[in-house]
Amino acid sequence: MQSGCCIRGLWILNNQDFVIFSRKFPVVERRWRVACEKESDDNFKYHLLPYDSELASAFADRKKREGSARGFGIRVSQSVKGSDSWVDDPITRHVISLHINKEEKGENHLLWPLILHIKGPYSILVLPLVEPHHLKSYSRMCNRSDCGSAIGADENLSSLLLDLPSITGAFIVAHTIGEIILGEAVEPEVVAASSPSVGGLLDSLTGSIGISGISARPKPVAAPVAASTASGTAVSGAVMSDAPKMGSRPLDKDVLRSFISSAMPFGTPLDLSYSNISAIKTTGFSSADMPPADRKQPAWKPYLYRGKQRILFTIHDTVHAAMYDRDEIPDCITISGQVNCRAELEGLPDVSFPLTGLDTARVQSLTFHPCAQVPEHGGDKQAITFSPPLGNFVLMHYQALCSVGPPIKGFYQLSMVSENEGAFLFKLSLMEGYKTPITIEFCAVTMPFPRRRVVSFDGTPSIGTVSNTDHSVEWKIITNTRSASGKSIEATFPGTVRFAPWQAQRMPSFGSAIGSVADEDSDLETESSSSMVNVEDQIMEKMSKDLQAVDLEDPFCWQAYNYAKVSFKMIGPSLSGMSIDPKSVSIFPAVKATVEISTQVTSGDYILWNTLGKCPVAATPEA
Amino acid sequence: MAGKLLSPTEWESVIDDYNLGGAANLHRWTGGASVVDLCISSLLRKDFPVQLKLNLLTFLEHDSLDDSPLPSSSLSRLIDALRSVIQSPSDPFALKDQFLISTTAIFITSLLDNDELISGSPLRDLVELFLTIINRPNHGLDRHTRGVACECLRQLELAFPCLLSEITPHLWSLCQSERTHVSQWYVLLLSTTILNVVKLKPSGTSISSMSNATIPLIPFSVPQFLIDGVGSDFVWKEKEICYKELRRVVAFLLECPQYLTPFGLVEFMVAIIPVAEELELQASLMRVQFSWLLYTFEPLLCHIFLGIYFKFLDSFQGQELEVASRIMLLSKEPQHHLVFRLLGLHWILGFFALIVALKLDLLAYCSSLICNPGDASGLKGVEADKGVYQVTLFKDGLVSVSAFKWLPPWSTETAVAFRAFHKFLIGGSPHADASSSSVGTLIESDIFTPYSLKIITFLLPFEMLDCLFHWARWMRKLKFVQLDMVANEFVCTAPDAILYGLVGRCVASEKMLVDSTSESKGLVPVIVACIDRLLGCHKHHWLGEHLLVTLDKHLLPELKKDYSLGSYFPIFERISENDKVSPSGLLELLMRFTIFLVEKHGPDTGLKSWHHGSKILGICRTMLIHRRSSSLFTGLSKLLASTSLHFPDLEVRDNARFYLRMLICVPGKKLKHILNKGGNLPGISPSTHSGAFFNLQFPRALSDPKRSGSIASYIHIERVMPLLVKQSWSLSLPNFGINPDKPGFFEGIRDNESPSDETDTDITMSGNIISESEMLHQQKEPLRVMDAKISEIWYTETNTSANVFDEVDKLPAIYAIVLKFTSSAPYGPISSFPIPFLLGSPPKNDKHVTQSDSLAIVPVDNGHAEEENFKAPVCIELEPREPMPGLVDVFIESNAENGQIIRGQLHSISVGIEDMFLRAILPDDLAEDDVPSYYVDLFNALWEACESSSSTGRETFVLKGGKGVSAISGTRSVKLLEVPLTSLVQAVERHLAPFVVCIIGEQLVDMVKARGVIKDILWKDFSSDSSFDVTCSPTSSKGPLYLKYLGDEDEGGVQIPTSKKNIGYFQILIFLPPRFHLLFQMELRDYSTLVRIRTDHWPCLAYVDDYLEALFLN
Repeated sequence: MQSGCCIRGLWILNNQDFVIFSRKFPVVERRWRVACEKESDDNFKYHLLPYDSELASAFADRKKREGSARGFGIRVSQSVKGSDSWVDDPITRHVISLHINKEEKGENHLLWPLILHIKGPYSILVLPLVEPHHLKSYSRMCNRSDCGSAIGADENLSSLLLDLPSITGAFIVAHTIGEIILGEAVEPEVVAASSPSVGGLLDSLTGSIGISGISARPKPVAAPVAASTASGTAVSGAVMSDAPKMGSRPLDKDVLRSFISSAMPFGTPLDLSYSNISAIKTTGFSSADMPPADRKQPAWKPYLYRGKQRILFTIHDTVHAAMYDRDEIPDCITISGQVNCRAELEGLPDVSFPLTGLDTARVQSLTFHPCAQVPEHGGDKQAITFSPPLGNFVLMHYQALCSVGPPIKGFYQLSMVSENEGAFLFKLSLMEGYKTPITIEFCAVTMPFPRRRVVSFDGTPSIGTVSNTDHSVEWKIITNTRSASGKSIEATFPGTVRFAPWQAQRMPSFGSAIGSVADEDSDLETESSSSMVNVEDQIMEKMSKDLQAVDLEDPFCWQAYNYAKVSFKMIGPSLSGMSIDPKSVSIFPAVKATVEISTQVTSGDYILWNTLGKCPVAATPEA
Repeated sequence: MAGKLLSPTEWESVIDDYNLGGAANLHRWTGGASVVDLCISSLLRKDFPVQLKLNLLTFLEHDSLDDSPLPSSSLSRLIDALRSVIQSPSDPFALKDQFLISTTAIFITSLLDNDELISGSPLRDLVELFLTIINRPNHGLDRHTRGVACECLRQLELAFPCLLSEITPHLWSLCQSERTHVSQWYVLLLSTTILNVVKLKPSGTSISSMSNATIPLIPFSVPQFLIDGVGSDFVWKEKEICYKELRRVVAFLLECPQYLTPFGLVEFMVAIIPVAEELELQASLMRVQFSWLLYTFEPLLCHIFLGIYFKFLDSFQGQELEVASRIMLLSKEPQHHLVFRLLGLHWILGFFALIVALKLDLLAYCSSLICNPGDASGLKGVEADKGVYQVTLFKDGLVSVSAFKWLPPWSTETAVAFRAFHKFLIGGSPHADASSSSVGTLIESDIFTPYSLKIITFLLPFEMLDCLFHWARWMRKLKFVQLDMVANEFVCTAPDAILYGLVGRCVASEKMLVDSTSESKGLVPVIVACIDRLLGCHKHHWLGEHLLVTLDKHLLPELKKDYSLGSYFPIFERISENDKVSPSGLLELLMRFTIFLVEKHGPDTGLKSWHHGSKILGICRTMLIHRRSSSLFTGLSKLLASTSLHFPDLEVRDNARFYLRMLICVPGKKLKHILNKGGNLPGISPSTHSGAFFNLQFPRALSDPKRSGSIASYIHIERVMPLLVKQSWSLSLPNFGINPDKPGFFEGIRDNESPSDETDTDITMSGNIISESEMLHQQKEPLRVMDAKISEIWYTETNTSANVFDEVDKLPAIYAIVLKFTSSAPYGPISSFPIPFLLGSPPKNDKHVTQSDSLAIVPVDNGHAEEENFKAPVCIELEPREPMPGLVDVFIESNAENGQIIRGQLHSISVGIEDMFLRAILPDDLAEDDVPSYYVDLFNALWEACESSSSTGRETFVLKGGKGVSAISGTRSVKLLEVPLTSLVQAVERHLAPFVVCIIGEQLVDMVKARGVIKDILWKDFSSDSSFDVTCSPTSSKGPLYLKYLGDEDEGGVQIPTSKKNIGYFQILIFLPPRFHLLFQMELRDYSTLVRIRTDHWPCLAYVDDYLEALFLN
């Protein structure tokens, strides 16, 4: 680790490939220049950072060469030597290189590594400082003449990336900037359960309140109380930032500029906490902000809380599932979760509680906020001690297996009876084996058809209501907690869905990328004459001819008919077993503070694969 | 100083201009004044908005990058401005902070380029200013500005190492006292200063003690050694006390990380790790202090941890697995953005690559534990199981891959799967590995690779697959990465794999591939691409070949023999090229495919049969080019023979026959040469014939020469005498390189393509065809043997459609036309031909002239006088160096009416073998009456000479003019023509009359004499020449060319039916320039004729065969 994370420059381009913001850091650039001059030879010398116009045209060139802004990522037949996809590694969709043409000087040089982060309409490019030998090495990699690197032995990207924390750091910078320019710098959600005396219908409406980040508040110290009362009637589950959305309006350069000059004044990022920085910018410090007498105030906690003391935890399970309903493929269900926290505590106290709820056998990973001190792993019982920052924060992430059966079981079958019509059947069983106090608050099933336009659907479910949009059919099974409290529910939904006539799509550029497209003699009679017995197969075959290749990072969009997605929210204890006993939470130095804990379970990617269709599957090692 | 002050809006434009294109754009704004000075004066104005001032500061920073370093005076002014802003109570902190930062940045860039300035007052003043600011620990209001000042000082210290070394004690005490959140900045400043002290070890006097400051903080003076020049005489004086104090400082600093932000921690680590190393701190201390980093969910901190881990590997002993599994989990955690998970995968790969080199023993131990949890008996067990285990793992991986096999071949999934496959395959022999490229040597060389590598390779997949596959079930997007990982892991296992038989495993994997290929023909292009990629690599060529062998062995028998087989031809193509794969399997498959095509042939499948047939022939051709013919001979000749006999499509049949003949007659080397010549030139002439042979995708190639069609569709060049052989095989191809000026397309006139463009069918089809002159043989001078000339007459005609010119009524004309000819066939230079002018023809309504019309020798309806102007006769004289057909490319250059120069290429002209036919040259002193008998004698002499057994066959003859000697080496051939007698005679009369030297047989003589076309020859009856017999051939039948054309021999062929009775003989003598001869002896019967052919130029047999067929069979 020769150097930390330094940024030579960053650029933001809009979707017309025009640079709308750029920032260069002369001090870092100076360091790069010195390093280059030390190692310069015939093939390598220092080049000035590109001007905005040069960078924009280089970016556009790359886009043209690589098919898209991100590029192919892997070596395909269009890949040319010297390009990123020649390196044949998916990460080149994120760490890109540009060939800068300095027209007046007739130079063409390689700019690498540029971190590419696409956010909304913007492409954010960040250029971290590396050492000249890294650049040379990459240049060799993308110009190698053989068939591609064998990892582990040849000169490869992995060891470069391991050697360069600045790339990792630059990604974080890029992501933070992305959030800022889209106004999405939101603190994690913490839900506080209100007093249990309020019951009935009101309970679900006012049952929880949202408290959002301090960024919007004029004075962070006094704010929490006011904020929580003001937003007391916020509808649960819809807790979002109350900061204005900036997505629709043009990029606020001044906000960005001021963030950059505070976060990384010389190109070396020191603190990327947008909420802290904007609080300091807007409010500054008063004489009332006294430093603590005995301890050092952490850099991530520029202000101390004053007011009524309490501490809130929200345990949030997200259930991911792949339900295949096939004998040969086992269903798969996992839970990822996090514990969010908001500590309204005066001074700089330490908080600790034991992690007893998590069954170590089921927990796959457990990671913590940097403010936490975690004993070394190994023991069954762990206690976590942390010194909470101000505002909402994620205390820990975990991944675990589900402690009970899947909340929604069953199958989904869709079969195309003709080119434009499909018959489907759902048979679901909700909350089977679940007991109170676990109840399901809402549950809906969506059949997405990203590539077809839905004209109409037909059929009545045994429970709930159905509606459709252009590209999906949604079945709302449960909309009301009361109707489903504490018992299992069987739900079926047979029906048909009709699509607008199939239109052959033009082959996308990426599609034609791989191999010379399709069979050259695509005479359909060939297939009809062969032993294609299944009509559906035939239809599918015909349609899949026109299917586009998916983006490398687009998870489910590849086949138009093959899955339904379940979304739900449950109330009650977590499925992962994660829990915090309010009595066991201890604060040092001891203060009187209420401890509130809430739990919510929502669905993540909860997928029902079409039993009659095809589905991706990964083999499980028989360990 | 500044000429004028810029307004805020002007500044905005300046900054925009600058960002877009750099300093070059600024001059018009500044008018030459110093940008810095302009900025400073604007910065000090009270009426400018703060936001603009901030922009100006950033702009100044950017400008310092490519501007020349600022002079000392500018820097001084900058500091003065800075001071006034800092001290101003009204300016907001944001501006003050930015001003501090920008000034520092500008100083650093300027001073580094100008060493002399370091000692100057600006730097000292700046540092003093910063020190004043930071020297108020815990001060409330401006705490953030203090932090910024610390950072500025730190950057100065980084740029000028040891600048602050003499005041380190002050920094430490400041650091200790600061308790607000900006303590991070004090800590970083201190740690950077310490780092430089420790690293550069300035002379001991400057920092005698950390705890007791000997010099005051302010006034600051730049250390003397910096002024003298960095690095000149740094001598570290060993001082125990210094070390002790330093340890105390470091111990203090090591308590800080919990208070730092993640990025602050990065900077801190960069400074503290070298210090810890230098001070030889206990490494376990590092472990205790920093292990927690691994368990945070900040990817950056994990990365930093890895940095420490590798620095202090010893102290982390035993944690390898923990670390590895943690990083692996990082890539599984869904809360991270995809890119961090990808990074995690890369780290782990890099991690293991490093660890292999470092911690082999431990890993070996661990792997044994993992492999046999109950039985840690050691490495032996591991070794034994490994082979089996890997196969299972790999199978699992492939199952996942093959789950995608039904996806379209262009899908991302397929691409990724094949990438993984490729990585797996090449894993065993990375390119960096210097060992040789063959499997055998690979095995040998790798047996001795360190045991280490094998262990790690084993360890990895186990751990990873487990995690990766579980996790990726539903997260398809990352599955690819995993597959990639799996492949990568197998890469590592490859040395083992070789021990256990890489080839065997490959086969296992390839089997899988074969399965999916046979199920989904769509994968073919992808597989081919994969194979090509391997074949293209010098190192992994053998793998590609191996794959081909596997496909050959396993795929071919699986394939269904129906039309779907067409999709697999790209694979066949690769197999047929590769000498390592035996051709027999493929040939057999093609044979069966041919049979299928023949059987399936019907009225609807004509095009398909032709299409597939051509493809099959394409494969045959590839085989002919790339393989030794001996290996092919049996199979290929069988395939070609049956194709030429049974295939429904005429063209395919013809071509097959042709290939067959080539295979049989032409020696291998020459054959390859011939075929290669065609193969390397993709730009096939627009003529229909050569395409089928030389361009494998010829249905497309036909429509290709659009570009040459533009002028060629208006001006046609026609043979007066159409060639007999329409589909003549020609080795000569349009050679675009010959013509130095730009050939091939139409430059002068940009015209619209004529709507009725018939480029893809027949070049001679469109328009009115005029050919009405008789053929002339212009023998300019007596032909000499080495300098033969023949000539032909051609016509050009114009058919300039109205859309070339505006006026429809007026016939367009072109002037001063020069036709130039080139040919790649072995003809001598062809002189160009001038035509004074040509008139366009009026547009015709009926453009559909049937082929028979266009080919008619004397068109009936085209004799009108006014059309004479639309055409002009062109005569091309050829000087063949070898008698072979060819193409003559025609280029036209002309003036249009409006003076435009028209330049372009016309359709090429085919020259057939019959254009080479000349009568034999007569000696000068021969009397006219003796000519017939001279010819007969010559015929007989040559006939005998061309028999290989003949004694004259080995004689040499002095060539005329004494230019050398020549030996006749003759070849014989036969051709059975099943045509009725009369039509044969007619054809001979029409086309071969000048060359007939003798007619034998009363019946025939009577017949021919009566017709009166053939004259002045020798007439004989059978009795006049005892060597002729009614039933026997004139030559002995003992030779290899004996042909049993009497099909019913079994029934006792003694009796000869009258229809098979020999009617007579034609003897035909043809001279082929420059010095060869072609002899026919035609044995005529009522319904068939046997032609015995002899020649002293064997290659011409190939064309003669076609010629005879065209002559008599059409």
